[in-house]
Amino acid sequence: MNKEITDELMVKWVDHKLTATEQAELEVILLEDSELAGELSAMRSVKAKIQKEIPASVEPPYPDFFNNQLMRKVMLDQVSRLPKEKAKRWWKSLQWAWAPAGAMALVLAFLAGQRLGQGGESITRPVATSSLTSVYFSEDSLNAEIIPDAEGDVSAIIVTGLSAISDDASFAEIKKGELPVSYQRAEAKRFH
Amino acid sequence: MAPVGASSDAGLSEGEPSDHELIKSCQSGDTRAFETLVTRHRGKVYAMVQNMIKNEADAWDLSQEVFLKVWKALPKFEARAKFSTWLYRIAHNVVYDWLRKRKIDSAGEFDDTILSEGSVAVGSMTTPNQDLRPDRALEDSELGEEINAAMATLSAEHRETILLREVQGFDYKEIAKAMDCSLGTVMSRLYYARKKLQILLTDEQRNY
Amino acid sequence: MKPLLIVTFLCFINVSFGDDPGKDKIGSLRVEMIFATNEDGDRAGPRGKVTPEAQVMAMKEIEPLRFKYYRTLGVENPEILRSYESWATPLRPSKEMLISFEPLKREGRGRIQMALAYWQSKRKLFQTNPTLVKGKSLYLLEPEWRGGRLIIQVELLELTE
Repeated sequence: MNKEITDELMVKWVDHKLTATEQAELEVILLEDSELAGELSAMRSVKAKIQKEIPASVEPPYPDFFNNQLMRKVMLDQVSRLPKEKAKRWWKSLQWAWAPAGAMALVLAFLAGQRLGQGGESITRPVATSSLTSVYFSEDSLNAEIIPDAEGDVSAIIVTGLSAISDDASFAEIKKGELPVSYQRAEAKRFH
Repeated sequence: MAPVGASSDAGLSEGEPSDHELIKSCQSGDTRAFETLVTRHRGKVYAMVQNMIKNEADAWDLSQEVFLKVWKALPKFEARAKFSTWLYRIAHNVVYDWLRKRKIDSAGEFDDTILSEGSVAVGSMTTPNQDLRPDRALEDSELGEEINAAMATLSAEHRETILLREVQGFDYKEIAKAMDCSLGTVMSRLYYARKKLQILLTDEQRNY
Repeated sequence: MKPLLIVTFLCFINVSFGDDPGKDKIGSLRVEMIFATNEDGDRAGPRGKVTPEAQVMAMKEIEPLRFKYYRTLGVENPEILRSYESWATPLRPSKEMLISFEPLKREGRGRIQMALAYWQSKRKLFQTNPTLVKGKSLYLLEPEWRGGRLIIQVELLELTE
């Protein structure tokens, strides 16, 4: 039998999607190839494991902030489509639209209140400060202390765990293509 | 874990607007309806993107990009189409653009994380090496780590096919639409990917 | 006098009559990279200039920033654009360490919440969203280098009202 047809039958068998006719066809093939049954069974077992271990849905970190960021971009997109005069008035109204983002930051600040990375805890929690500042890290090894000033504004963020810069680094060179892609795009947007 | 049904409206409680109802409101400029749509689907998009690129910080950026493209393309969305398939098609394009760019930008010098475009992202982790780094959701599971490692050996197309079928529960035609390929290609990829995973994971089991 | 003031004001806030109000300049930052050490300030190398005393005293008010020697390695004054991410390259011409920033929202007169991210070797290592206040500095204590630490000082220089 054609290999493609065999492969298709096997795929459908794993998914319990064989028709009666296809089931009969596969059984003929199985009679001729005794190892195939074991292979099929193993494929089904692997499928079950994947379904068990890989979640179909994972909320992004700080889902409310995800929405706030996104909706801001949506608003900016809406504004960019408005006629020029309307766009200028929109910018003022956007200040009020961002209030929910500030409120959410406040909620995060109250709910959290612990140092990031401490004691092996999840690093996705923000550090709370009186000025509603959060710090998000790319690596588990990083930690931060946020120091406010007397008026409650953030004065310093002390980051620990960053890899040391090589003593040989003199910060003198430019390598072509070294720049982050978003850096290049941001510069292009600004100057074109 | 049973796969979530590919139907966008599966699991909605009574009184909740369907995806199509929300889309209709969005097409009239209702951003609140769009936000509801985002809240409903962001978990699946983020999971899919993260499973494809294995980089949380960029997964955040790319997921945002997916939804921004959805917003911009909503006027063109046809009511008879299935929203989830359409959504995944956009996610597919975003991910593959990122993968293509990564390949170009990292050739020869850095194979480290490529920085994504767009605005600030709140990523909790940036995986320095795309290959074989355990996904955070599977951290506590040894089997999960093995599965992850095995999936990492697949090409992007094969990995995506497996994720859409086994994890997201898409049927073959939906996978073909989301990945813009033929049904035959879907079947062939599924067969190949499953066979490879079966060999890798069955061998792993034998070693214990 | 009044027309001159108006023209000057308009120039200052860089009102854009172009297509994209997002490119309007709404302020500027001063981003400075400082080498701080208890060992030998000259290890900063030839590009290190002695940091002014007033600046040093401000840093010494914060305990983790107290060192014996301070050298300024570089400074940049990038613009803050209304709705675009911008970049500071305080170690120009090197792009080894970068700061990206984007305004999030104003919080009253002379105050703006920004999303700041620190990039090293093309990777975003951390991100924060502090409120910057005109006339105040935010210090980021960064990695070790040559027996000392690198400090990034971010100051909000101007902010349109």
